[in-house]
Amino acid sequence: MRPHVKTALVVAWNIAAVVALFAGAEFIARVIQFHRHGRDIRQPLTLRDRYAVWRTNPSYTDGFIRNNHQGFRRDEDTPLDKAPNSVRIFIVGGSVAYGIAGNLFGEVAHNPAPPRNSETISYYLERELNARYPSRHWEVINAGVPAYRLHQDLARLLSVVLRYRPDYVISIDGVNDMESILSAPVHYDPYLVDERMVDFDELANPAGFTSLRVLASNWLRRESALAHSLQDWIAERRTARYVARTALPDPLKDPVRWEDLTAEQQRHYRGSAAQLDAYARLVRQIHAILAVDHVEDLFVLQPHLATTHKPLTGTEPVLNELTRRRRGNLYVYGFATLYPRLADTLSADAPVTGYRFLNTIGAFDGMRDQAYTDFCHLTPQADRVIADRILDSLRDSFAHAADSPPADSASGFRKHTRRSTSW
Amino acid sequence: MAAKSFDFLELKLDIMGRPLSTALVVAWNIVAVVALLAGVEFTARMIQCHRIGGDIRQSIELRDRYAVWRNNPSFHDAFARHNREGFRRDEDTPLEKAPNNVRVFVLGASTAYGAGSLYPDVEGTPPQPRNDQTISYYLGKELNARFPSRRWEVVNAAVPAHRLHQELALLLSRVLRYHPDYVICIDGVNDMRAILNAAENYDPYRIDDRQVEFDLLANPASFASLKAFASVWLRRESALVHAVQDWSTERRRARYVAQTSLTGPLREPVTWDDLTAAEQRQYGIGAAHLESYVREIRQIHAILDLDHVQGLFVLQPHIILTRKPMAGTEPRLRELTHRREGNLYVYGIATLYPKLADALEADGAVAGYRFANLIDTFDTVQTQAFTDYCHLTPEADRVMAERIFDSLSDSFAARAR
Repeated sequence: MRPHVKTALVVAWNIAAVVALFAGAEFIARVIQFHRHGRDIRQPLTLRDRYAVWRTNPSYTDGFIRNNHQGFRRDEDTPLDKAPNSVRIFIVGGSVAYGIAGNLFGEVAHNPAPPRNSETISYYLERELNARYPSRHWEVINAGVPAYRLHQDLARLLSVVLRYRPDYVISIDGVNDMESILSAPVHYDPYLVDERMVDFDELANPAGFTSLRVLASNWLRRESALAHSLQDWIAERRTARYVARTALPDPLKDPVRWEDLTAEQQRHYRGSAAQLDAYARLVRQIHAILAVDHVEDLFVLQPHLATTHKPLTGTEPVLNELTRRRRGNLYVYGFATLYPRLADTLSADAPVTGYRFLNTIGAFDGMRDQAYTDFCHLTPQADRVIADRILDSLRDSFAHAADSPPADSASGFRKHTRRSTSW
Repeated sequence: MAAKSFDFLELKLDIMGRPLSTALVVAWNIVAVVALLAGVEFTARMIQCHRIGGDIRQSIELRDRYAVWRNNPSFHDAFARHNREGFRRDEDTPLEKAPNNVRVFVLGASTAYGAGSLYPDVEGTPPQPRNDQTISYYLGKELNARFPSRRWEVVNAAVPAHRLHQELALLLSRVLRYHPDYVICIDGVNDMRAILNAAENYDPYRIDDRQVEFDLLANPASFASLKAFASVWLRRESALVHAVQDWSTERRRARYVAQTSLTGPLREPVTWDDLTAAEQRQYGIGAAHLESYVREIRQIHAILDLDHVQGLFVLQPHIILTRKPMAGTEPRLRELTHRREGNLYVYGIATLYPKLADALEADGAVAGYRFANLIDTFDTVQTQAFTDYCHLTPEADRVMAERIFDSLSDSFAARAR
């Protein structure tokens, strides 16, 4: 054999060996992952979106969650055409509305399991409505997206939800926006503080070698169970280091007072307090958009562990302590003082602007069971309580809708303009 | 000399072992190819810089998180220059508005932006307006001349190919942070085209070609993603690839132009009977979705109203509808519009566009927004106004600015006081 051919064969043999090794490792990783998770772990929970930064992935499913073909968390699909007797209620918001477990405190033993599709706020509300008002078919659709804030709810409403002709839209928000406001610079602009902004730009507008790196990382995560597992392992190591750092047994002041904040934190707090109206403004924008289509709305301010007066049970005392340790004094003091102030602002603004507001900060105050799985995510039992509160808040409107004759399936805008215009 | 160094290399290779010499030859070839490509890339960059006067690798637009795409702040060429905020304007637009300033934002698509002709093959068509020849520029000049007590900033925030739903997204995500006093939307043609091509369940946010490309890039999976990414990345990084892609596009366009330049007879005006059965059905679907335009205007108006921003919704002119005396290349442009866009488009614009104007006129009075129907703006203009079916000459931009000024003159005067 000629030496050149021999060299080429050696090179080819080595390449084939490496490829075979990786293929074998990938196969083993897929088998292990499938055995552990019972699904294809390469499907992410969210996909990047061109109108709302990210959205839920219709192909995602795990032991607790299943999204339908339209990307809503629901077992049944949601057709574009609404049946004449149906009343459609969409729930928008972040991870609490969507119904996931708090992933920040994963190391807390005996924490309740996250809600299944049949244990979310939307599910309980739908079940209750169909039981109470059987003259109509009530569809309560969970359009929440983890980590969403109000401006993304608005974008999702415009780009996705309104095409399904909702009769009601219920927004369950507060914590994600409040966290943004508490970490905001002087001029808070929700559109400027997207955590996934960097990856988005590197992928959508690729340029430079950073884009190649981000592409490789994302593509491999999607295509290879081995790369996915490695990335998860690195992330877990990082989380473990973070947990170790924040688990130091320092004495904690409870409650946190103004004097406990540093001068820098006090300055930051004042800046955040001045930005609270940004939340009310977004609520007004959503209300104005829904009013164009004559959609009824309800804005729910979700509960938070730092502001609850409920007796802490189960793992809640640990969760409460971890929240304070990991989030720090500014966060705890900010939530304890500014979150109720935000509720007051919305309570005052609602009758003036014409939207409905429901403050659920005290929703669990009389509850004996565990409600929280971290500082804001909820147990199935707590989801049921929130659903009951929403039902109480809209009882009159629901009763009226149940007694009204079924409308045609046209959007509220079309029905209204048909009366006033002739084209 | 070259032969000598080659001999030297042969000699060196002889001294080394065979595998090493093979590796060296491979490395030598790789280096030679890389050097060749680098040389060609360098030459391409020099030529492009000389021809365009800017870095062609900077695209005019960037994919956006809320509005699908937006203007690229780094873009500039011989006609257009964007400021750091991505608006077509020579001066920057700071977040803070000076107390005496009145801010007017112009939204819309390529006509509001001031884009060039879509029919570059028509010789003698006027060139694209420069930054100081756009509607926004003329409006700013007029306002500052008439009401010098205030400083009027007219900011061109239009983005080529945008439609109303994207303007709403841009308004929410970018424009409102600059505290505008007025927002003027100049639209009609792009949305009307989308409505004329609408499916039964028309939705401006529906999945389109750009959605497919976006998903390939932003949610990478499969080899199609790698291909799309490589194409976009190379276009951005290499002037050579950029030039080759442009050349390929131009070839495709030339073939299209050749196909549509046939000199067969054209029926004018197009009547209902000239449409095929499929076109008549499609026309019916489009007509049924006119209200979606009105609905989007109401949404924008509702958002502006919350911030007490005065809005004006302008329906832009179209060459199919104008009654102006045709001048310059306009007769040819009108004919090409008919040939390239087809009967459904021409008939749809001729009949549905005025109907849309009537609907907006009526709805504006009910919903409380200002509407300006500028379909007839150029009816008395003797010089060339159009550079294709909707894009305008600098002179036409000036006329548009005057009409907009007239529509809001009472409000401007009150604001100046």
